[in-house]
Amino acid sequence: MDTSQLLKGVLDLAVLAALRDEDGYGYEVLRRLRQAGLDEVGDASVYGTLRRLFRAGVLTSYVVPSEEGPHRKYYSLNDTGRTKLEESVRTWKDFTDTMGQLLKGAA
Amino acid sequence: MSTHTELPVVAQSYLDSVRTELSDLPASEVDEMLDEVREHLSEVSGELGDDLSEQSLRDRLGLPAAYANELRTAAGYPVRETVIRGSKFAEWFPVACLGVATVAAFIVGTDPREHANPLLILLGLGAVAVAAGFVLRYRPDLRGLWLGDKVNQARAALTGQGSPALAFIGTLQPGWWLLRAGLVAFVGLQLGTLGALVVGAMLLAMSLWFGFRTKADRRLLWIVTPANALAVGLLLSLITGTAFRPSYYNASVPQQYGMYNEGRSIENIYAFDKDGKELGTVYLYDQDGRPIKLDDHRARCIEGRSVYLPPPTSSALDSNKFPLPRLEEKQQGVCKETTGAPFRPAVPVPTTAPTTTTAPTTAPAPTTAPQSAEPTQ
Repeated sequence: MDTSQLLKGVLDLAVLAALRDEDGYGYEVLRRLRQAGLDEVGDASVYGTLRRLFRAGVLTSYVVPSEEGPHRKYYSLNDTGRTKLEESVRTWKDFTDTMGQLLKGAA
Repeated sequence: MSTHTELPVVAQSYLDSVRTELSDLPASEVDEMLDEVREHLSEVSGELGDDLSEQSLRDRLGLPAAYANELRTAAGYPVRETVIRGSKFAEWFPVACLGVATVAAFIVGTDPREHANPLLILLGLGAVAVAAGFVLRYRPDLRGLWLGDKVNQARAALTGQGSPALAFIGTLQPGWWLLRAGLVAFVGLQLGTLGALVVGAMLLAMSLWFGFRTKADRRLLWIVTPANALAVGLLLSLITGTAFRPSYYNASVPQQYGMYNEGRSIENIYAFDKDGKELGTVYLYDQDGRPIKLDDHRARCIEGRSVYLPPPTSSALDSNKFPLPRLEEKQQGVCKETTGAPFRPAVPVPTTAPTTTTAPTTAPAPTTAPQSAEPTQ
């Protein structure tokens, strides 16, 4: 089974989780996801997801000027975002429990 | 993000390709997203270092079209409709129709009194309908994305990307939405359209709604373009003053009072019968049964004092009742109203063969000389 197919459904959750403890700009979020082991996540998908979550009002953003390199747009979770993250985590756990039960002994 | 660091040439060219792929989306959205793509490309270019080339960039990020498509999908925008390669006619005919509608709307706007004829309005509306039908039937890919592309291209050509002047004009846009609704409502009001105020409020709401929607949904450009032309025309007509030029059909004839006899204003009418005897009170009407009123600016004698009555007051009096009261000044400052004729008329003597069938049985015998038609002083 292709991991990228699975990723599509949970990319929102992954991005929200990557911003839970610390604000981050696009490339930073991408790096955090990679470091967590999500190698197959597409670069553009992460940027697009950040943009969509921002438009949906669960993220706020601010620009940090930098001496070298481009200005960076940082994203942070707002209260709506934290609520959404908590809900998504619960949904995810229920789902994985269910799948775990279903797949027990299959492998 | 106003200041951008220079991207390496290959990265900039990649960015430009991505921009082209997203050109159907609202310009402000694209700018926001591309700011981050720029940041992304800058990071990736830095990591690739000396290995940076068109090929290495594509190995890492995929083709620009694929990158743009992934970005678009993840950001929740509709997939770009694939362009059907239809005939040139199918591509240009709807645009020509849009042009006709736009020109028609503009002409109506420049002189709403003279040009707002049903033919021109029908032509404009018809052209839009034909264009819409044609696009939906033959070229669904043109629906608005294509027109949006053209608008974005024109905008980019006119002003450089991210120019402060463009940004400033962008902030004025809602003002234009208010103005165009106000223009149409205002001119409608001047033309005496009933309920123009209600219509104006509706237009205002519509204009704002269209304004905001058009930024996201470029399909509305098919309607908004002719509507804007109409508003520009109206604005022009307001500036040049043609909108309120008195029309030939609506001249102020009903506002004129009075009658004239060989160039002299008639101030009173005295009626005599065939015998030269003065008739008492008569009421006079025209061919339509409307009361005949003379010049309403006339003096009346109220409580011995001569009062000049302005039209609204005097027209409330039964002024088609003749003779009108005539003022006689008895002494300085004291007046009196009389109704009798101030002259003796010369009623025509029917000694010559009368043309009427009912000949008078008794010949009138006027006491005064027959030719003294002039009123006695």
